Amino acid sequence: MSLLLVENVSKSFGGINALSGVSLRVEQGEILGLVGPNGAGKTTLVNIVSGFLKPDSGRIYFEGRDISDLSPVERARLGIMRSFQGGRVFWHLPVVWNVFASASVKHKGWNAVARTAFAMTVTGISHLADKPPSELSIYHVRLVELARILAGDPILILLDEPFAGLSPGESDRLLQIIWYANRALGASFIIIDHKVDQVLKAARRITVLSEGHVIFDGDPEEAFKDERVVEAYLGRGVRLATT
Amino acid sequence: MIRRAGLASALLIAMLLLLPPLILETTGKTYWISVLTRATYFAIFVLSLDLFSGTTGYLNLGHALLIGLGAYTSGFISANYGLSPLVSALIGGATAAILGLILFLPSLRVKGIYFAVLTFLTPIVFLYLFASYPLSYYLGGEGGLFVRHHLRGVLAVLGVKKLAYRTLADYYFAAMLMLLFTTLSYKLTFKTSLGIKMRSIGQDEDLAKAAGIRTERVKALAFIIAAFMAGVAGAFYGHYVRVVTVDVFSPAVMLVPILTMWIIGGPGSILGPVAASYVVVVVEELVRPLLGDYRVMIYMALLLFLVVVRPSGLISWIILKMRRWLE
Repeated sequence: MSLLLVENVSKSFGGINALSGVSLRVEQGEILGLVGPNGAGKTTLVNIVSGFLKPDSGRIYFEGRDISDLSPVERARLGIMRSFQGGRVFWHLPVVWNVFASASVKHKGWNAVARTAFAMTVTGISHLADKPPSELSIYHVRLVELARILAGDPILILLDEPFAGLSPGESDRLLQIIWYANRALGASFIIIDHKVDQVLKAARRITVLSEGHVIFDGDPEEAFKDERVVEAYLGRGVRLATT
Repeated sequence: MIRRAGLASALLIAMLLLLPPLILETTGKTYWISVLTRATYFAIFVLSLDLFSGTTGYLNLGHALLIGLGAYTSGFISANYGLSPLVSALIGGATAAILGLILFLPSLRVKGIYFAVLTFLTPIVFLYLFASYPLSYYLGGEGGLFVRHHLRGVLAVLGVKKLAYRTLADYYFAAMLMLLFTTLSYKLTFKTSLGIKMRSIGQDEDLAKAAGIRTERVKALAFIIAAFMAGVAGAFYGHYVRVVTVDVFSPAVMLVPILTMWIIGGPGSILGPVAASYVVVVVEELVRPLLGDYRVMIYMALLLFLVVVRPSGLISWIILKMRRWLE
């Protein structure tokens, strides 16, 4: 049984099809890369899976259960946790409150405190506990976001462009935390980016989205040998020299 | 730091307790005691508004409704069934919380201007409702509901047997005790995860939802706590002024002063709004001989001045400066 199953989901905004008949699956313990050029519908898909958007048609199953009609809050409590593009945190609350707000959803008293401490240690932001994120760098904001997610007992984590704006070194450190969460905590991931290189390092399988359609699903190695993927990214008639 | 804050609070409380006899000795009049009592009730109104609106970001312009419901309920019960205000005020608070929640719950789903407009209109509807026939028969209409049953016994509990200005002092100390109680509940709310969840909603409600926080429930709970505080304070205020009129629902009488104090004090703190309430009420009394009924214009002037000069609150800013200077 797949952890997440998206079946035939369509969504249009004012006559423009953002997603048309998209199906997607994530297996237990998997890191799936969801890539595609700008405007491919990646963020729309994340909004639909996390419940912030209602699809026009199609169903979503999580751990075998139909969650299509659940609210964002209920989905988060089931373990589907997400980040937002560009980094979204409680900008003027101390970092420790940011994390605690999430930890105290399912845990009370000292258990919530322990969850908070654990998530902040794993992400390495304990020393920033009292600072509001408005004073932090993009990299640290991403870590606060990740700590907030990890404190909420995630089963499936949706990261929307987690590497955008980070230096290669910072991206690598973020990747380490993602791997740790995946291997030690058993969390599954959908990582979204239009820049493919970082996603390829993390994901063992990628799904390529273009203009609202899934155009490739499978091994990352194979993806850039696929003509349609190359075309979607670079335009018709271009060959990649590296692959 | 904590020790210094504790010492400052102790000094402040001692000062407030010693004020009434001091005023009486120096001026020979009880007038300023009643002014301070009024200021204390307004401080509680502002604190209860801040507890909900200052944290969740939902601007409740119908706060006067909760105060009025508390005052009317408690006054009616005490006048008709002879119950002590200490008991009827709690019933008044509960009524304000339940009825307020029923009235405001639908609009709690929409943030921003909708919530503000809906809450602003509700007390005005109640103003006409209470002033016209079926209810006006029971609640006194525009003439007001006379609250005959007065508060007794606070001083007796404190061990004071004989005092010339007994009733007035009773209400003064009752108001002080309530302010203390309100402040403690306010602090306690932010010691629990509820306070952090409330603030997270004020910061970014969608993100709070993404974290799995049941925002509707948190908002309702915060509203109930704030409404109960406002209702109980409103009840005591009603017993103190002895006549509850429909004016309590009028924006000029309740809403404008409360908002002015809130904004001068700076949302999101305790000391700021409390100090602002005292400053505004005392200043209003001082200009009364000069301006008469035109004194309500100082609210407008103060608000305009502050919005331009220091939108984050004047008193909070002064406190911050003083803290820096002390350190």
